[in-house]
Amino acid sequence: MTNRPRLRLGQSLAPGVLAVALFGAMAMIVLNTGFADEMVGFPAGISVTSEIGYALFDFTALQSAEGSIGDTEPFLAAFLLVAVVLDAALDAALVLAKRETEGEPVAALSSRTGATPGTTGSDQVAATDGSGRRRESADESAASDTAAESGGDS
Amino acid sequence: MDVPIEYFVLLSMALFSIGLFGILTRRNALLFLMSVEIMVNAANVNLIAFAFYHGNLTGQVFALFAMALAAAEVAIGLGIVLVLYRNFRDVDVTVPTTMRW
Repeated sequence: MTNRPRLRLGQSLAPGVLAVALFGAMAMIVLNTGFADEMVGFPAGISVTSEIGYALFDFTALQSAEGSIGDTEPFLAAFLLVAVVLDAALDAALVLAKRETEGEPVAALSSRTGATPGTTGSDQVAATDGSGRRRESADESAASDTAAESGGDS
Repeated sequence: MDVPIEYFVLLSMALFSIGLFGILTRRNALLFLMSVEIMVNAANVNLIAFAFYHGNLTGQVFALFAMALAAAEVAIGLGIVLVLYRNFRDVDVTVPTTMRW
């Protein structure tokens, strides 16, 4: 069967009409606004990238010495604020991604549940140590771990 | 580079309307995030176009900050989507109802 895109007119008709009407209203406003015909633009021979860098780090001496792109404000405080916000976002994403099994938080980067460095038990023994009985017990504890995990996060 | 400013503003408004339509119609949380990103990029197009129009660089630097804030927002949003899937086995935004009102 072909899978061509279809126009679904059911529930999405009213939002579509709303979006198109909003676009039309805003376009009417813009087309009736008297913008200047000529854009000012940037002068030739000046590196816009280095000017952005000077504005980011408050190098006002370099800004005035090198460029004639005027009226660009310094942005060092905003730069530091954005750095703090990105750090907080990283921490919040880690907190949201952390699981909890049986009330104990499980770190997002650990692959096994309950494999803290302090515990020395049969679940710490690798399955390749040659002892069949210990491997069996390790498999049992792994199975119980997965059972607890699937029951814990629902 | 003699494109008039109206075309940039019209492009930005078209992007904004597409993002608004996506937010109003979609039920998938990931598509919600994509629609919000489209709307943020509409604002960025406006900032850069008017920076060129006025001949200073404040708009360009501000667009960089808007992109950084959009990245932070996506990090939080993907974490929320992860928790949504873990709790409801679905990323449909109409399924969780306890925090709706």
